[in-house]
Amino acid sequence: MSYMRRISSLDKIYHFKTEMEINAYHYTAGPIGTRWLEALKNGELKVAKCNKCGTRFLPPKLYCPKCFSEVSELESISGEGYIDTYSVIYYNDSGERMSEPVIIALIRFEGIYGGIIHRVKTDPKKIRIGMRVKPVFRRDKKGSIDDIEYFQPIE
Amino acid sequence: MSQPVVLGIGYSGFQPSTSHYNIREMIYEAAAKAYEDAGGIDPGSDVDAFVSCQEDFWEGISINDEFVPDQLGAVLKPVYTISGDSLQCVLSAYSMIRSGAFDIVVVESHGKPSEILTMRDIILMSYDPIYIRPLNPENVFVFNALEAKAFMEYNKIDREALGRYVISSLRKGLRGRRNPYASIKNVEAYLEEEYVVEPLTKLDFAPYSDAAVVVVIASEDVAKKFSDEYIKISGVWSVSGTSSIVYDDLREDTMTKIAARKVFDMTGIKDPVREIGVFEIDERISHVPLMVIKALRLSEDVNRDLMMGRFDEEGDLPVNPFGGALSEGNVLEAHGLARLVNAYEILKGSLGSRRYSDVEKILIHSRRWPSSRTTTLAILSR
Repeated sequence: MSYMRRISSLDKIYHFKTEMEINAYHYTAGPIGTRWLEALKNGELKVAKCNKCGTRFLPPKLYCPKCFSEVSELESISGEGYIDTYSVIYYNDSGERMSEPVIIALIRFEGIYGGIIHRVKTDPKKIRIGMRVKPVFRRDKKGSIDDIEYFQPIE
Repeated sequence: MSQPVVLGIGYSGFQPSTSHYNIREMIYEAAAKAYEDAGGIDPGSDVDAFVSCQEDFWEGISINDEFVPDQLGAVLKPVYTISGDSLQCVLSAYSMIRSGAFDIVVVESHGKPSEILTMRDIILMSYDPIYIRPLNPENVFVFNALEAKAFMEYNKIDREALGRYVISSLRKGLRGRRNPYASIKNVEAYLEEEYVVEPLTKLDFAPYSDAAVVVVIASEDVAKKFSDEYIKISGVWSVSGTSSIVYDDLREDTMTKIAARKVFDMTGIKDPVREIGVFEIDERISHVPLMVIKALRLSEDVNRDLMMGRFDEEGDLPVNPFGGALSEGNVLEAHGLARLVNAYEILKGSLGSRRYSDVEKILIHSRRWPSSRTTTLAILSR
């Protein structure tokens, strides 16, 4: 473009660095999400159940992901599941090598639609799809997905 | 009903950083070129409406649609903004033309990732704030790696085959026009790369590029008044998935399967392997085009066909023959239009060799990056 010809030195173009102060929100868990998080706080893993089509699913929602009906019921499950897929983080977002690789997995539960993405604590060389795992809860729980500290293999 | 056509294209950038122009100036450059390519249209008197695909968080400006009109010549005109990949904007423009209410619609999209200083934070904010984000993973691309792992294991695609795709694509990019990251590497170099997030290395991710792309879409009848050199949009369709990726089967690309059924039906394509000459597919993360190839039923054994070179420039199913996003860079929401520009230039004969002179139809694919699985497919034809 013609304007380019008038630039003799790129450092004549001004740039402004600013910060956006947007990192503060209240996220509402909703009535069924709140009950699910309260169960976690009590060291219990529950799933949502649709009264119309019977689908049991995770994470919970007020509406059934299969038939779109309103959902109000939660059911307890044992928490024992299996690894559907996983990844091992070797480098962080800044490109620095992790001192300890971190395993993140999608954990599914028999008969349950959906699942949970969470950390798994085991040797990265031993992890495999299909491995059976169970949750390990923190001692101090707050009503958050983070109340599960990690999943670990079932011996 | 009116047949929508691509009447002109223009772009700015496709470079790792752009210090001299701000994004609106890049859009202005792209728009000026597109209007000229379209036969010298006047945005004030000839264009009925404008559609822009963008995302506020990439811009650093909230309610950014207010900033769309000026640099397009769209002030006092209908302007629609879509928070999505730019092929979704093409679907909107296509529908507007087909409705008969609009004769010329301009589509615009852009990305200037070189100005984004907190990319990790923006990407992490795109994930569910209650059930996923609290995990605060050390690398936000681990969620994409979950899909890559599931797909590759289920379809028995090994690391060498994935490397074969990446290396081939980077080399194909050397023949393209907008590819700052194209390079010659060999599979051995790929295999020596360490995993960043298993099963993906840094070579499996497209680096970032700045770009603005503007495309003029018109009804065929009106297009003829400006130019005889236009390319038809035979069909376009988009499918959105769930926000909870755990509800998806990560082993396959359901969105592309559904969108393909629809777009093949719209265009009368019975056998995509025989009828489509070139595939312009989103490869911003390297396993994605392989999922698309599988979903389009182009290959029963992707691993074998990769090793046989079926998707190379001389193969019978050329994918991104002049380089895709791995070579041109990740231009955020402008990616879909970048694929369209390649297809437009190939069909017009201005990009490529005689190898593609008889290509009649090109399929374009884009998927909103990085956390969404919303997928759009389009078929462009002579």
